[in-house]
Amino acid sequence: MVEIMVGAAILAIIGGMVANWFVMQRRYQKRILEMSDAQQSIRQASWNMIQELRTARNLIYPRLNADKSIKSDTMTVFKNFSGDIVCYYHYPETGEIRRCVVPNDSGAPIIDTKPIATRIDKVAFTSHDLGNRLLGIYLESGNTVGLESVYLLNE
Amino acid sequence: MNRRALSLTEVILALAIAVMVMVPVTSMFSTSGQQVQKSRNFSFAAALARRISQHLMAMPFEDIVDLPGQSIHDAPDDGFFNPVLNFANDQSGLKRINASEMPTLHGFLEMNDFKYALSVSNVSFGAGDEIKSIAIFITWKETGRDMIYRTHIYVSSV
Repeated sequence: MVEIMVGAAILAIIGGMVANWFVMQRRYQKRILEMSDAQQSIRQASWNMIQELRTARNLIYPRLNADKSIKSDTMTVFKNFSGDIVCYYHYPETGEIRRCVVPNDSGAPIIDTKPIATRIDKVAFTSHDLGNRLLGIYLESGNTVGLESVYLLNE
Repeated sequence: MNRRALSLTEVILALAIAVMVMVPVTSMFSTSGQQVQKSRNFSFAAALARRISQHLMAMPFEDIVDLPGQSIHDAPDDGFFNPVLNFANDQSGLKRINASEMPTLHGFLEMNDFKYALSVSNVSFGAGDEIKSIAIFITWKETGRDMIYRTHIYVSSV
C-alpha cells in the first residue's frame, strides 16, 4: 500500500510538472504568435500605404501647425497621381485602417470593401516639413510598434 | 528478486530517456520564439533606416553631416525621431520618445537599446554640384549580442 502511494505521489509530481510545462509553453507560444501577427499587420499596413503615398502628388492633411510645429492625426488625406483625393483613416472600434477615394471626376466617395490592415490599435500620421512632402507613420498593435516615414516624390 | 517491480536502474534509465526526449523539444519551442523576436527587431530596424532615409530627402543639403551613435529614446530633438507626434494645434502637444509620453515605443527601444548613426561622404562634380553618400546604421542588442542593420542612400544638392 505504501509503495503504491509513494509511486502515485511520484507520478503525480512528474505529471504535474509536465502538465505545467505544457501550459507554460502554450501561453508562450500564444504570445509569440500574437507578436508575429502584430508584426505582420504593421508590415502590411505600412507597405500598402507607402506604395500609394510615395507616388502621391500633394499631402492635404495633416499639415504643419501655424507655429510650424509638427501635426499628427489618425487620418491622412492626399491627392494621388490620377488627381483623386484619397483618405486613410483608423477605425478604432474594429482596429482597421480603411481607404476612401473621392474620384477626380464627378461621383460619390468610395470606401474600399477590404480594409488596408486589421488588428491595429493606434495610428498616427504626422506632417513633418513645411513643404508637406514628408509624412511620418506610427503604428501600434499589441506591444509591437512600427515607425515609418514616406517622402512624396511627385509633388 | 521480485521480477514484478521495477529496479532503480530501470527507473533511472527511463527518466534519462524521458529527459533526452524533452530537452530537444524544449529548445525547439524557445528557438521558434527567438526567431520571431529576431524577425521583429530586424523589421523594426529596417523601418527605422527607411524613416531616416526619407527624412534626409527633406532636410537642407548642408545639414546632412556625420552623426555618432545616438539613442532613439530619451534623446534630444533631432529631426528624425524627436519630437515624434503632436495631436494638438500648437507646440504644447509635442510628444517625444520617453517613458511618460510614449511608453510602449520607449519600452521597446530601451529593452533593445536601439541606436542610429550616419556616415556621410561628399562627392563634388564642380560648379556647385555635389552628391552626399550617406550610410545609415541602426544598432541594437539582442540576447546580449550586438546587432547591426546598414543601408545607403545618395542625396543630390540639386
